[in-house]
This record gives sequence, structure tokens and C-alpha cells, in this order.
Amino acid sequence: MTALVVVEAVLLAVLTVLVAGLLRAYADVLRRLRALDGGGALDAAGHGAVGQDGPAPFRVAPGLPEPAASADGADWPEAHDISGVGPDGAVIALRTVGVAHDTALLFLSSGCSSCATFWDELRRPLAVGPSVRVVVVTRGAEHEDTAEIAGLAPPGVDVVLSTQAWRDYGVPGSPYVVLVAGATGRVRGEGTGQSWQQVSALLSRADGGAADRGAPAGRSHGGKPRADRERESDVDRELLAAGILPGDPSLYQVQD
Amino acid sequence: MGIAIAPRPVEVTGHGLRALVPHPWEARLYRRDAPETNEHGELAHPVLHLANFALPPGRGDFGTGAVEVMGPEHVFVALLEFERAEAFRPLFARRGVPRPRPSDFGANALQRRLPGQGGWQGFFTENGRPFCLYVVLGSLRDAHRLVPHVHAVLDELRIGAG
Amino acid sequence: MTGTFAERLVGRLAGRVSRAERSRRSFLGGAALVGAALAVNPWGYLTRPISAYAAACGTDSECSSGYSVFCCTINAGKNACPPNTFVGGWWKADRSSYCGGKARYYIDCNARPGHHFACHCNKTTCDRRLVACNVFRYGQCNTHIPEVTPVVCRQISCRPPWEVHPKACGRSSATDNNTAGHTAPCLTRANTFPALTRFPEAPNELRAGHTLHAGDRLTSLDRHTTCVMHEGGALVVRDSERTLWSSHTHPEARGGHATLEPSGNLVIFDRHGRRVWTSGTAGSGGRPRLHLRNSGVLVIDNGERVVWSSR
Repeated sequence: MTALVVVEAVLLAVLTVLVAGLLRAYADVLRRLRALDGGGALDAAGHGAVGQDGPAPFRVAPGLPEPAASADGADWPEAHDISGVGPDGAVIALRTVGVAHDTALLFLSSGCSSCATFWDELRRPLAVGPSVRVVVVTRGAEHEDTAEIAGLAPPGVDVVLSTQAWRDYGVPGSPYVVLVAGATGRVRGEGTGQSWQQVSALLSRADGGAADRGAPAGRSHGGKPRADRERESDVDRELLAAGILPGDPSLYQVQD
Repeated sequence: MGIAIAPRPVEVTGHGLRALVPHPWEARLYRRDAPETNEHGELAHPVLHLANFALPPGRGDFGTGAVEVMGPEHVFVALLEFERAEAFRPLFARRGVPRPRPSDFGANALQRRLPGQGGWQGFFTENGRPFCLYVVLGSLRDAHRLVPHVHAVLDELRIGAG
Repeated sequence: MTGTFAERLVGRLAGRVSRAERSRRSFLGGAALVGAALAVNPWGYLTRPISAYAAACGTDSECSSGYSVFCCTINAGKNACPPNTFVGGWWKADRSSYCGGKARYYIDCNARPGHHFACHCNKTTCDRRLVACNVFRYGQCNTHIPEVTPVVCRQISCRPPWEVHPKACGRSSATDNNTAGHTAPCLTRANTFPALTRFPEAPNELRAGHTLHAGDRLTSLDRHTTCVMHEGGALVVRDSERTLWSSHTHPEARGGHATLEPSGNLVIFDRHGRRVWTSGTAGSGGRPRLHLRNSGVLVIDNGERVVWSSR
């Protein structure tokens, strides 16, 4: 019985030492992580160093590439809201600054040959995040043929004629794309490319994948009610079983 | 981190209308006067859309296409003009741009009835021009909070003689 | 189950559609729905085939979608405003395949003030939209009525509302192409007021001393009626559907012309100048003119009264 107690005591002591060691190592890891994070050394009470304002500058060893602009975007260009006219003559004022969504501004023209691919691609579903609004901006009527822009304008995409917007964003030529972060009102990425597909990949890198973050504010009441969908698929199933495929002439007989 | 540029109001003018919309409101002012869509002799008049959210393209004149994406904090305003001969007719007898109160809104006063939303519609004549004003709140329950924003926008609306 | 292949198919489909409802009426309703789905107007301007169900009632056909029912659904098949309602306004959807690629008009029938309609969801057919729930008015029609009342149902027309409801509806346009896909099994090409032909513009009257040569025409102000002097010799009044009046001077007056003489007499001459037909209204006095009215009637009046009419 005495031997048993002694063994248990020894085991307990060993475990205590192990736990203490683990806790110490964990604290050491936390301290090192905080130091790497730019929090500075901790004082005796475990608080951050007084007088330190912001993260320590990121440094790299010689020969390694520098990272892109700092994470808080303080050195990113300022963005501007867009005012102009639509191809149909509508007066348009839309917001890109201080809003919940981001905006991808496509600066295109009717005359540039490399813009043609963009105009065509805009007629198909675009590969953008749900919280990104796509707006095409051309120069104003003094530079563009409004009727031609109207012919190129794809349905379901905002098109604005605005020479001022080209000036505001310092657009060097078309095609050119600028991604605006709505929350900060700053440009997050810009550049050009041969197609929307190529540009959207660049935007995705600039956006850090944030374009895939959840749906924009506001609920959507679009889409069919469930009952509609169920009935439709039931009927479609029966029609298919009967050999009546979509587009079958029997579905399009005019009743008078 | 705050916004880079202080939000500014934006002015839209045209067709004898002028609206100074505060941030984050957007505006569209248009008239559907393409001959190929007025082939039977329809009369096209100005339509003004105002909203404190991103207005999607392809909207109906009374806001379909936009009301479906509204959140509880969103507001949509439509102003539609009618032919001058209707000015001061009983339907348009009210003079001046109306200011609906929160209690004037209803869940059934909507062109398209959607859950949670509240609508209000009013007809009036201003400067000899007959109009319909239609307002949709994303949340009827929050009418007391949203309607002051509507008033702020309407206070900056000017209807000229056309 | 006996019967033809189509009948068996319809029966199976009807059973599927109305599976939650066992009554005979619901079975027949379901069969009618499928029958309509198999004989619908072509969606020529849509590139994507749609399900048969959607073809019968189109998009947004449930109450939860927030739209109003069609009048023919709740008005015994009649595409017209039911009793105790009035036409409150209208909107259009452009380039509608239901109207030959032209505008399709949706005319709201609002509850007449003082008449109550209970707000409810229609349960018959697939047009399960709202009845008297949306208190809304488009405002172009009957502006002598100041109230905004519930929309009881919607009338459909390929003809403009001011032609379907003259003196009631104005022309101030409202457009909503998001409703272009709405329809109901009871709406057919025949009962949705097919658009009338619009003849080329031409004067609607001929003054005294003037002549209509072969190929010349008068056109009514609404452009739905025309009066043509044919090369064959007949003066003919017609609209898009039928001939309304003819001088029956073919072939005697072949190559001839029609003149309204200063006396007020309308005369048809042959190519040799011989009188073939006259209206017999010489000496009517005043300032005679030959006038084609929107009603399709050709008249001669002297500025004070009608002295001759084609009807």
C-alpha cells in the first residue's frame, strides 16, 4: 500500500513538471509571435510597449522581392464616384466610395480593337464576386459615338459615358480596369489585359480573394418559389419520359 | 480605417428636374423615348430613380429589378411624370411634392408586394406638371428611421416648369 | 389508363401537378393546365426553352412573387375588368413575343371606390397570383377618380390601352420589362386584342376641287382605316380586317380617278373622263370636303352637316 502511494506521488510530480514545461513553452511561443506581429516587447504586466504606434516595418533579406503596398492601403490612390450619361441619354450618378460593395470599372471605347473582346465577354455571365459591381465607363459624347456605344452596351451592365471619370482615374487608354474598394474609397488594383478573363484574374489577386466573400447587403427576392420549381421539374420529368424534349414543336403550337 | 475622400452630394439635372442626392444615394434620370419602343404612339416622360443602394440596370419604371435586392436599411424612390393634360385632374389634385409620414406606409401599398417591405404612393402637380411619387422602404418596421432620409432627399428635389 | 397516348400523358401530368389535391375539379384543372402547356404561344424571342409549366403561366406565378392575377383567370375566362372595378392605369413590356415582337400592355383593373374585394391568393390554374392585395395605381386612366385602390386583376392587350379604352386612358408610358414573362392559360392571341394594322400616313380628307388618282389614298388619323383609289377603278375603304365600303366601279373605271367637285359631288371617272359613279350630292353648299373618320366611315360634309356617308 505504501509503495503504491509512493509510485503515485512520483508520477504526479513528473506530470506536474511536464505540464509546467508545456505552459512555459507555450508562453514563449506566444511572446515570439507577438514580437513578430510588431507588438513589441511585453512589460511586466503583459501589456504592449508604451509609445509604439503601428506595426513594425516589414523587412526582407537582401535579394528577396518586396511585398506590395501595405495592408491598410494608405498609399493606394483615392477613388471617385462616377457621374455621366448612359448610352440612352439617362443621367447617371453612381457611388463607388463609402459603400458596402466594391466596383470594377472597365474603361473601354468603341474604337479600340482590343476592347472588342471585352464588349463580347460582357454579354456573358461575368466571373466576379457577388459583392463586386461591374461598370463600363467610356469617354463622353464629345469623344464617342453614343449610338455606337448603345449598340455595344450589353444588357444587364451599367454603361456610363464620362470623360471626367477618365480624368479622375488617370486612365492611360482603353481597355483599362480599376478595382475600387467601396469601404475605404480607394483603388485596390488597376491594369489592362487582353480579355475580361485575364483582367478578372488580376483583380482577384489585387482583391486577395475578398471578392468571394459573402453576398452583398440586401436580401434578394429573385428566383422561383419552391413550389414553382417542384411543379416544373415534375412536368419536365414526365415530358422527358414521353420523349418530349425542350424545343419539341408540340410545345409551341399556337392556340387561337 | 475611414474613407479616403469625404462623401459629397451629387447633382443630377435634366428634363426640368434637379435632384441633389446625399451620400450614399444614387440617381438615374431618364426618358424612354426610343421610336422602336413607342411605335403605337406612347408618350415618354421623365422618370427619376433615387436609392441609397446600388441601383441595378434593367429596372422597371416603378422599381422592379431593384426592390428585389433591397435590404432592411434600403430605400427606393421613383418619380414619374404624366402628360400635361392630366395636371390638376382629381387624381393629381394635390399640389407640391408630398412628404409621406412613417404611418402612411403600408405592406400592401406596393407595386410588387415583397415580405417586410413597405410602400407609399402619391400623385401631385407641381409647376403645372403632373407626377407620381412612389417610395419603397426595405423594412416597414423601420419606417420611423428610414422616412427622415426620404424627406432629406425630397427636400433637395426641384421641379421646374419643364 | 385507356385513351390515346396524349390523353395518358396528360393524365399522368395532371396527376403530378395536382398531387396535393385529390378532387375531380383539381384533376380537370391540372389537365387543363397541361393542355395549355402543350399549346402555348411561341417564345420566339427567348433563346432558352422553358418548362411546359412555366410556359403556361410564365414567371412569378405564385402569390409570394407579389404580382396580381390576370382578369381572365378570375372573370370566367373574360380578359376584361370584372364588375365593380375600373381601369386605373397601365404599363407595357417591350418587344413581347406574345404581341408579335411589339409592346404588350398590362392594364390594371382597380377596385371601384366603395367596393370591397377581399385580398387573397388565387388558387385556380397556375395563375396563383394576388387578388385585390396590391394597393397601387399606374395612373394614366380614369383620372377623374382620385382614389388609389387595390388592384383586383390585370387585363392584357397587344393594342394600346387608349384604343381599348378610348376616352379613359392616356398615353403616358410606363415600362416594366421584368413582367414580360407573366402569362396565364386563359390568355390567347384572340382575346388579347391583337394590334391593328397601321396604314401609311396620308391626309384624312380631300377638299373640293381635288382629285385622288390611281394609287392615291386617304388615311384616318388613327391610321387604322384607309381609302384607296385603285388602279382597277374602285374607290375602296378598308381596315386591317375587312373592306368597309367600295364604289364597285371596277373595271369600268380602270385607270380613272375620283374627284370631289366644287359642287360637293364626289365623282369617279374612267380613263376617258366619262362619269362612272357619283355620290349625288351636287349643290350641298358650304365648303365640301371628303373625310375619312377613325370609325371607318367615309363622309362628305359641307362644314355644317354630313351630306353623304358610306354607312
